[in-house]
Amino acid sequence: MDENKIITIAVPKGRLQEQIAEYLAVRGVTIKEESRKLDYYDEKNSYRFLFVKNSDVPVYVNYGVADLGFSGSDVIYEGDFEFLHLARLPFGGTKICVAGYEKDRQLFEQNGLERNFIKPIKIATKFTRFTNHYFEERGIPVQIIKLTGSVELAPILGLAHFIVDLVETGSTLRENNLAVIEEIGQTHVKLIANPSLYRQNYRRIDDFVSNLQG
Amino acid sequence: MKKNNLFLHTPPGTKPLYPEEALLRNIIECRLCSYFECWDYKPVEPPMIDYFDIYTPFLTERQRKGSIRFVDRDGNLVLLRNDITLFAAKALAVRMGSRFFDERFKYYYCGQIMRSREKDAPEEYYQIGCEIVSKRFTHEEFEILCLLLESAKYLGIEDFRLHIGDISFYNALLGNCSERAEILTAVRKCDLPLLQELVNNAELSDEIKSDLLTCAHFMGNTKELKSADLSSAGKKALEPLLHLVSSLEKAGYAEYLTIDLSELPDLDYYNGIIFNMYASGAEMPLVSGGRYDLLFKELGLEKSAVGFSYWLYPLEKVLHEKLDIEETSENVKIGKNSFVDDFQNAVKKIASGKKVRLNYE
Repeated sequence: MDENKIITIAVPKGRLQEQIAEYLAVRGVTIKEESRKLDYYDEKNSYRFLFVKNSDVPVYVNYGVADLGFSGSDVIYEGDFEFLHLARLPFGGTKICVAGYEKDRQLFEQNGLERNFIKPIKIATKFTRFTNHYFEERGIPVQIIKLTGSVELAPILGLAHFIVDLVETGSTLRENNLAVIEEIGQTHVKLIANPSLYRQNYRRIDDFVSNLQG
Repeated sequence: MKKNNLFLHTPPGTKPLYPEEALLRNIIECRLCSYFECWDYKPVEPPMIDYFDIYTPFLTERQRKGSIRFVDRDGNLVLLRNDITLFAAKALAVRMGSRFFDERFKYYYCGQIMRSREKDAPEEYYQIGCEIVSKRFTHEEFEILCLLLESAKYLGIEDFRLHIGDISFYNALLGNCSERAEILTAVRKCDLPLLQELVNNAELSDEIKSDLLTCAHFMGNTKELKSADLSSAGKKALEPLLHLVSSLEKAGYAEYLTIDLSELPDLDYYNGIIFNMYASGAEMPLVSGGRYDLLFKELGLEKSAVGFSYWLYPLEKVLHEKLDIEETSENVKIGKNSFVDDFQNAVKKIASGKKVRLNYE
């Protein structure tokens, strides 16, 4: 196996990219995003960084375009691909919560107790796999509606009773008169690897992981 | 979908092979099958469908959900083949007692399966593999790994490595530990933070916890594994694997081997070595295999079994530039003289072993 091969790493664009770049910079690895360029090659370390949409990171890693990728555990779970989870980063973690109008809290709790299969509560979310699994495991009937953005609108416009979404400070919820009804999970930022590509170059990737954790 | 669109597409997950792809597959299949026959492996052809209920104990939830099932004319739920090893084992298990079968049976197979890979729609895969089933094993694991490594070289795969793990090592350490499944998943995913949490909370001795954390991410050779700081129980549990890999190293295969204790099966019927072959240019393993006595046990037979399967999609990806599929044919003009004479001339050439392309005037 070619030990000098360039390691390709998918990085989610946006705020997480900045945090990852800062975190790596103090470890001697540079990520520079030049305007409109979709990748950056760190010649010193032979790392190539791809800047891709957050939800696409698992796809690039799964299909072997990238050896590694930084991604939230929520996105990894929704992708449902088989990865190696090589490291957990000490930032970017947040909560996954059920949120809605405070006045509807009783409806949510009652639904959990009564398990009304005839008229299940409606939940809008980007995280359909996670939400489905969560409520299915508990035997709670819900109708899940998939949305891809501005999930908070769903209860406001009457599309759904509740939403399941990531909550950091809760300010977006408060601005829309919504509240956290229940915390149902935690997310972390992880370094994932394509299992085959990792094994083709595991010594160099392990060095990258050690550096990341150092 | 409109009828015209149905004509233009095939169902998700399937793909027709056009001549150059089919030719490449044909060459690989012919080479491998003839090579396996040189080692005295006999062909078997498992059925395309079988009763679903028989297989449910062996399938993971993902495999169950990702399989294609339907109701046959008699109202039985049948499963479209999603794992040749499984279908072949079941087919053989019901005949194992007959006089047609030796005590040690070696066989090979090739064929399609339909399996959903992760969340995608079911996909059509092609597998070619070899298995040995016997009442008891002596050197069969060594044989199957030799055969695999030699067949890979015979095919012309250049840059490959075989990663070998052993589930029996973890079975010996974990026993009936209630967190067994979660610990094995964390090892398989190389999720060391999660493994640390699970191991810390598990009811295991400190020595075993230390062995698990030392070995879970181990990749290296026998020398490196022998020098790992392990308890006597840990060392004892690794003896069969070390013995096997040492023998392979002595046989000259060291450059192709990596002991990889994170190689673990996601199926419960494996009980010993487990291995995958990786090669540059392929984002998935070229070969998967292992020891699976528990499958036969579940099928009601006390047998030992070991085998492997090549996955043709990544194999073709690796080999498509290396194998010469452009074979030259001799042109024979038809219609230049009497077309019957020309045909007879072509037939003679073919009979003498030549390849002929018929060109019409």
